[in-house]
Amino acid sequence: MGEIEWIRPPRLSQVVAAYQGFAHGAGVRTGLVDQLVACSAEDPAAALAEWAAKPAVQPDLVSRQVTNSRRTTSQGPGALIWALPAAVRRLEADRIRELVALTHGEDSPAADAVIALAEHLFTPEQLDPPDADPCTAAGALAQAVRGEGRGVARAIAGALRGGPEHEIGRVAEELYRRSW
Amino acid sequence: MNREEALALAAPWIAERGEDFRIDEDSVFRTRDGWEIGYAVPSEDGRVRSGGRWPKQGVEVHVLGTTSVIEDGNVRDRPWEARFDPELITLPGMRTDPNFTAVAGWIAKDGGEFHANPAHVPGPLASGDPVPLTPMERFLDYVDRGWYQLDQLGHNGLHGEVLIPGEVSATRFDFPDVQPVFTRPDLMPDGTTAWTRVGLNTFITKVFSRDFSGTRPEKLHINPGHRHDTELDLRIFPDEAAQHLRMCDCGRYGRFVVEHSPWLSSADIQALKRIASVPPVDVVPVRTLKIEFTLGMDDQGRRFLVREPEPKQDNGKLRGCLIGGAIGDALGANTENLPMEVVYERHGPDGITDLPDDPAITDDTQMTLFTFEAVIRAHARKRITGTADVLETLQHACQRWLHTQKTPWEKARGPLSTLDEPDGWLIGHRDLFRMRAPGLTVTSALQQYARTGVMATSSNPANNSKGCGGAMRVAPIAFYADDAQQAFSLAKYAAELTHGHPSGYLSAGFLAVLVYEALQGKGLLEGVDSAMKEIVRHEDHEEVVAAVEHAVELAALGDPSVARVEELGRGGVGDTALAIALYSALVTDDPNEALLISVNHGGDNDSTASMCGNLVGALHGVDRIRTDWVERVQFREVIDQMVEDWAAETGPNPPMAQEWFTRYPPS
Repeated sequence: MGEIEWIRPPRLSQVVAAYQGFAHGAGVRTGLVDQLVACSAEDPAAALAEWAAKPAVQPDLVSRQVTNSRRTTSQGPGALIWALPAAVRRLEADRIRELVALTHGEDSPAADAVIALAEHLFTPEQLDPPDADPCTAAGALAQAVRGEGRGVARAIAGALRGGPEHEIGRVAEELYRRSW
Repeated sequence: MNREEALALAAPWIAERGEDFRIDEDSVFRTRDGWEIGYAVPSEDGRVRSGGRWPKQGVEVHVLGTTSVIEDGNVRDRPWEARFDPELITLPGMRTDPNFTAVAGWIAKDGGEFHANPAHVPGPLASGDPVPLTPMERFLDYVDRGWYQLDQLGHNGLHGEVLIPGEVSATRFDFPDVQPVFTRPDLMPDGTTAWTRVGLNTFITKVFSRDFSGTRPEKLHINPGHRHDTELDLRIFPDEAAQHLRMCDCGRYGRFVVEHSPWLSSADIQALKRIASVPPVDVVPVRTLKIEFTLGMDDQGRRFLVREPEPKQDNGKLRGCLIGGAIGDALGANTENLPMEVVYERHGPDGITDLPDDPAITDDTQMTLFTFEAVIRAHARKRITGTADVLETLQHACQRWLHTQKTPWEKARGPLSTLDEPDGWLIGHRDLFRMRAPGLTVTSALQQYARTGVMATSSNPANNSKGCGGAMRVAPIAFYADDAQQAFSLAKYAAELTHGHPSGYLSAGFLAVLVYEALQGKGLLEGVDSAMKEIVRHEDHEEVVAAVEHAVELAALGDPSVARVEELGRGGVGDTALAIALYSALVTDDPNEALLISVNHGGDNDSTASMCGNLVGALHGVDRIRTDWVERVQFREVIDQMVEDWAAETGPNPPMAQEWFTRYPPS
C-alpha cells in the first residue's frame, strides 16, 4: 500500500463524533475505549504499557500483550483502533505500520486494514473492503462497514457512524488540538 | 547378516565405482543399521587405507540388503530409518546411539512396512525383568542387553549417580583399590548408616583432579552381589569419561552429598539414652530447642523415627476437574449434535436437566483418562530415569485408547511398544472397550501413527482438522505442569498428535492453562490473561482469541440462554468448544448450572460440557458438584483411584516397588 493522500483535515466535530461513536459501539467492552485513549496519547507506547498493566473490562486481548516480548505477529481486529488517532493526526502509512507493530507485531497484515480505515474515516466516500475472516482486522473492517459483527467491529462501525455524547469526546478534542 | 555376507554384497558395488578400488579390511564395522565398509585405491606398498573408523569413501550395507554411499564418514541417503526399542529411554547426558541389538527394526523413509530386526533384544518390561529404578541401573541394564558396551558408559552413563558407603570428601579421601558403590540405599550392606551420593561425572572430575589428595580407587564395584553387579576399571575409564566431560562440562557443578540411613544404629540409640539420662541444670538458658519424635521398630528389629502423619492432600479440585468432565460428558452423551428441538422433545421444555439413567461417558472421558494415565507414567518415568518425554507417553496412551476402539493391538501400538498386549492398570478396565462415538479425526490420526511411527506436529501435521478432539482430552496435563507456559505447550503438543489446524491445538493449550490456573486458586479471567501470554506466541491464534473474547463478552451480559450458547457456535471445533465451555463456566458461579448451560445446545454438547466440567470442577472443587451426579457417573471409582495414585506418585515418598511400575510403566 502506498502513501496516504490526506485530502483535507477532519473537522473537530467529525473527530469527536467518531470517538463518541467508537465508545458507543464498544458498549460493555470499555477496555477497548481505554485502549483508544492510550493509542491517542502523546506517547502511545508508554500509555499502552500503562494500560496493559491495569485491569480492563473486556479489552482487546491481543493488544494487552503489548509488553510480552515473546509474542508473534497478530492480525487480530484490535489493530483497527489505531485508525482513529492515525486519521486525526494524518499519519503516513509507515508511521501507522510502526504503531500497529506496537500491539500486533512487526509486519502485521492488520496494518493494511488500519491504513484503509484511517484513509477513509473522515471522508464522504463509502469504504468497500473485501470480505475476509472476521477474526482478522480486514474481516472486522468489512463487518464494521456493513454494520455487522461485534466487539471491535461494532466499535469501528460506531466510529464510522458517529455516536452520542461520551466523555471520550474530550480525548478527541485534545488529540485534535495536539494535531495542529 | 554377518561380516562375510556384508563384504560379499559390498564387493560388486565397490567394483562398479572403479576397478582399482579395494576394501579396507581395517575399516569394516558393525553399525546399528548393518555394516560400514571403507574402500580406497591401494597405495604403492599395496595397503588399502580408507580412513579407519570414519572412512573417506565407503559403503553401508544395510541389514535389509540395500547399500548407501559413505562420504567423509557420513552415510548419504540411507533409505531406512532405525526404530529403537521403545524401552530405550535416552538418559540425561547420553551422547551416542545404541548398538544393533537395541534396534527393534527399520522402516522405509518413504513409508511402508516395518521390518523387524531379528537380532533385537527386547527391553526389561518386554522381557519380564525388573524395571531399573535409577538412571545408573538403567544404563547397566542396557549393557546387560547388549544395547551398549560397558566402555560406552564414559560417553553415555556418566550423569548417573552412585552411592558410596560412608562419608566421603571430594578433596581428600583414601579409597580402597576396589571401592564398592551402590545404585540404591536398599542395596547397601546392613548397618550402613550414611553414604555419599555423587554423579559419576562429578566423582571422576573431583577424584581425578590435581586438587585431590589421598588414594584414588582403581575400580568401582557397582552393586556387588546384586543385580547389575559390574566392575568399572577406573584406570581406563577416565580417558573415555574425559571426552564426555570436555564436551558436556557436566562434572563441575555436582556435589558429594552425604545422606543418612533412616535406620538408627546402636550408637544412635546409646546417644539418645545418654541425653535422656542427663539431669537437668538449674540455669537460665539464653536459647532453647525442644525436639519431639517417636521411635519405632520394624519386624526386623530396625529402629527408626516414626513419620508424623502428613495432612491429607486436598484433591478436591483434581477430582472436580475429572469428575466434572465425566459428568458433562455423560450429560451430553445421548444428544450429541441433535437439534435443541429434539432435545426439548426428549427432555422437556428445560432441555437436559439431569444425568441419564445410564450415566455412561464417551470418548471424551475415555481419552482424558488415558491422558491422565500418561501423565502419571511420565512422572514415574522422570523419577527413575531423569527424563519424562511426556509427549511420547501421551502418544503411547492414545495408541492404547485406539486399541479400546476395536483396533487390534498389533495394529494400534506403533513403535512405542513391542509388547503383545498393552500394559498398565487402566487398560485392564474392560468397560473402556466400548465405541462411544470416537472422533474419526482422532482415530485416523492415531492409525496413521501406528502405521508410520511418525509423531504429528504443527510442522508435520496429521491433518488440517480443528476439531475439538484435541482440546477435550488435555485437562490432566495441567496437573503435571510446573507453570502455565508448560501447561500450554504440553497440551498444544498433545493435541497436535491428532489435530493439525492451529484452532485445534491452540484451543487445547488455552484450556490447559485455564485448568492450571484454576487449580492454583485463580479465577477464570485471570486464567484467560495467563493463557493469552502463551497463545500470542503462536501463529494463527486469531480464531481462538476471537472465540474467547466472544465468550467473555457474552458472559458479561449474564442471563444465560440456549440462544447465547449457540451464538458461540456448535462446539465441534476447538475454538467454539472452548468458547462454550468458558462462557458456561463464567456466566454462573454454580458449577451444576454451568454444566447444564454447556450441554443444552444443538452441537457437540458432550465435548463442550466435558470441557466445562473440567473447568468448573478445577475452579470450585468436587464438593460443589451435585452429589448424586458425582456418585452415579461412570468411572468415578477409576477417577478416584487415579487421583489417589497421582497423589502417591507425586508425594514425598513415591512408590518404588516393582508392582507400581507394572501399574504405571515408565513409557
